[in-house]
Amino acid sequence: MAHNPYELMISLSLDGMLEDEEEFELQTHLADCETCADMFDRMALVDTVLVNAGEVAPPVNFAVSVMLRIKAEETGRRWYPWLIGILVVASVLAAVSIAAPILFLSIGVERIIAQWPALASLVDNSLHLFETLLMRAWFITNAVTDWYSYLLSDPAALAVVVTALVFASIWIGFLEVSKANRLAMSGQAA
Amino acid sequence: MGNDQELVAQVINGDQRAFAELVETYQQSVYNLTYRMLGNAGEAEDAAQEAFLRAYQHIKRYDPERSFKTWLLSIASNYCIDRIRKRRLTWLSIDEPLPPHPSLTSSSPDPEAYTSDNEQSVVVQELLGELAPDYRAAVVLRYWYDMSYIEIAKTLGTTESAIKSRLFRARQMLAEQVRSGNMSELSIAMEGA
Repeated sequence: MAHNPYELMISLSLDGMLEDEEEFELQTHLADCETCADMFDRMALVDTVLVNAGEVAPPVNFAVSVMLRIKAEETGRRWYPWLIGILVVASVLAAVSIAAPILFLSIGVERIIAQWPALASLVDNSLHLFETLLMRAWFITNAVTDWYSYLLSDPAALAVVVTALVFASIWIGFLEVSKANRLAMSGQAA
Repeated sequence: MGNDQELVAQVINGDQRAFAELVETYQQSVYNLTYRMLGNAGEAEDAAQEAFLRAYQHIKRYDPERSFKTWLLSIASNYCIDRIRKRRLTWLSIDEPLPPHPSLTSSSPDPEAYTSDNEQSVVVQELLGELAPDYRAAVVLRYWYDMSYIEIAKTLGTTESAIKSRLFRARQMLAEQVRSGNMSELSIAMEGA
């Protein structure tokens, strides 16, 4: 006797998917077939257990965690294009810094450019701008290094800066906790 | 459902509080699905968060003609199926042990968080753990969300006949479990229900 079609019918019967005639055919078969009747009992038992299994509740503050994660992702996504932009600009500057001396000194590009005064003037201005930018970057780096050396050599100045950083951290932490509480309250209100 | 569409419209306009309301409304449904799929409270929490995050990021792709809950469950179930497949590929053999009891692995939920009896919960997770992820998803959506075959098919992006077949095969496998010695545990679980 072919059992498989009836096993499929048992599954459909448990889902209430059989027509009256099909249900009658199945019940008639189950009355005569021990194997299928056994399969029906086992499927029905599993069905009862699953039907009666309740829903599992999420952890407390789950909704707040989700919103904090979304905020963190959003912040990251806002900064990402800036970070990429800075990296691209830095890479271009580095490439120009390396390529420019090679082109001008080794290949003799300056002689070719000199034949077109307008182009020569443009290149001259660009190089001047580039040099100015480099000088300013050098000046800022020196200033930061000097300030850092001063901090390390003067305990009082170092203490002031560390205290300021600690207070800033506490203040940022306080703002984050307030945000989380506001989110929790808005969630509860919803 | 109409309220959901209004909230979705507000989210699209940049209102995160509207999304917080949606999270509050559907957190239990999504978490229950991820827990039933993954069988581990820690992983379930992470997967449920990921499902909400993906819903937020792709909210403009949501079709207002569909139920928001179904769309959300679709994201969660497909994510869980992928996760189980990756887990099996990367660090579990085919003879993986059954998932540990949630109270042993959970990082945050307290025991009161479980609505059903622990013994029953273990038996249910053991049963589900034996099924392939596609079959498991069909069973979870059928039993916990009372979805029709067509709704399950739409949620999992497949056909009604495929769902009919998956539920049948899943029941056959679960029935085999009963034959192979879990009958007494199931009986106890049923008494607890």
